[in-house]
Amino acid sequence: MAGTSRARRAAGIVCLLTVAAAPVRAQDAAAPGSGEPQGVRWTVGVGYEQFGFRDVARASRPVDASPVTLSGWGPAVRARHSRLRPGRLQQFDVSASRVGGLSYDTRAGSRATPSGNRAARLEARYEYRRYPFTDLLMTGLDAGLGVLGSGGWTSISRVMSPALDSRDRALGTGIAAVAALRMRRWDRVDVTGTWSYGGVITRRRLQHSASGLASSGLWGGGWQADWSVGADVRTSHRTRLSLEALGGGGVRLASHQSHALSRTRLTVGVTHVR
Amino acid sequence: MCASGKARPLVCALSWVLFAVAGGCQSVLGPTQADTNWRVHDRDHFSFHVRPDSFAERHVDVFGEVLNDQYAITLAKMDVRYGGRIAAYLYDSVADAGFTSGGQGSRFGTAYPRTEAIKATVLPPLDANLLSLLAHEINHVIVQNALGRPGTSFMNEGLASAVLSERHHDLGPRFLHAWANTHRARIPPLARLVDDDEWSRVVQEVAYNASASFLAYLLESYGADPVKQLYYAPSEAFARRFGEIFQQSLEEAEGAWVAYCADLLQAGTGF
Repeated sequence: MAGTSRARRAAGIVCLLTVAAAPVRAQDAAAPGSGEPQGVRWTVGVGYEQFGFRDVARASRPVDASPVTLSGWGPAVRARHSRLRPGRLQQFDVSASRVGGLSYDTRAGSRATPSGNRAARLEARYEYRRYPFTDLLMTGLDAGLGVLGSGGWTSISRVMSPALDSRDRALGTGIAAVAALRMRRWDRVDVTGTWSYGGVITRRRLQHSASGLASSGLWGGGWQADWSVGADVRTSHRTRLSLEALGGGGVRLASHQSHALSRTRLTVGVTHVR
Repeated sequence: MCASGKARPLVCALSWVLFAVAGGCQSVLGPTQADTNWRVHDRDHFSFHVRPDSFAERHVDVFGEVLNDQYAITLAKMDVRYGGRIAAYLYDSVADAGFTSGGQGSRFGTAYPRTEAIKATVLPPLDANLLSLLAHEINHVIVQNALGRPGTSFMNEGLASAVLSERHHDLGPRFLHAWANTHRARIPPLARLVDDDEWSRVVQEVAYNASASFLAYLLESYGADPVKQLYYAPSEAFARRFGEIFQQSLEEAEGAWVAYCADLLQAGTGF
């Protein structure tokens, strides 16, 4: 039930932003198509993010992860600065999310956990991408390759009972290869899909309410694979409505403390083109 | 892997990255999800997920009784608080559970403490080995949720068996002390067992039983508090912390433990 109301709230936000952008779109409906996109773009967006956490017992393949996922939904924000030149893209992206009310989910059902379970995430990414293949197979379809550097902070708080809780905070940095497909076939809409895969190094700080001795720091590593599908809908000469779905997952390995993370984020935003 | 993180932090982290990335499709697609073919039976602190009409489903009441008893015993022996509900996934074959047997039997179990779940293969007969396997796995969940991350595999695996209840089966501490006494020649020095880099190189039956017997001896002789303090010590600090907590060296305690096991056997209170 909680998930349904959150989904309704997310749909409401999407509607509000669509309505906000609509008058601008009406004024500029006849603007010509841009060909290969260029210039500097600023995007801000809001939406919802789904967070999933699975304990991992064995890190060697096949990875043995818990049949139960600790998961939930929460608000997410993102801001992006993009510099587009013919055949090239530089992009700096910052996003944050906070997920509360986590539950234990399986494909067979869901079970609530004590209140206070939550996760938060802050992430910054820089990507450099080139489109060496333009008008691939058809006019307006470009294929690109890039490299993505990221840094982030993640916090997972668990409450086992009213007087028993733990916290796992991680600082991480990673590098990944990116493959992208961009469709700029239409006058008003650009669609871009990406897939990235790479390694992550983490420094984690663990705390547990049972004892001060339970506080420990440990190094770890892992992999992260993400996908995204985004659409920019031109609403005026300088404005775009930006929709993005992002998902992915990865494994974070550390001594006696490995886990798998997953996320799905849906955001809607506004892009200003300079 | 990388228990001694302070010494080589970057190498340690990079080794985890290489280990993780140098994989096949799974390291891209992620771990697989459990399927939906389960029936769920709730028994106090447990939700048993069993395959329909399986051996596990026929004996779910037995598992409920045994594991709820174990739950209470573990809380009492460790003097900890924990009130969570544990999801137990009971599979009816090794392949079904995703274990790789390697020709080493058909009973396996794994605990996932941070999602309060376990999985195990549950095959006939309904004997002490099966009950102690399930009890061992739920002890991981209880102990790690109550205390946090263990410092060593020695403590993690040893404690899960050291607190086994002997009400429904006879593979608890008395069995472990008798085993340690009769297999003394096979047990490596404890200083080796507490080293996580060495732990996996020791025959697992020896490592599990010896660590469990030693920790059960500590619990029986000194109570839960000093063992809980030692719980967090990493491999490189284990011997030093042991000396600080118990006011004796690990070697001295090892000698006392060996004598304790021998005395129990002589007194006829062991097996």
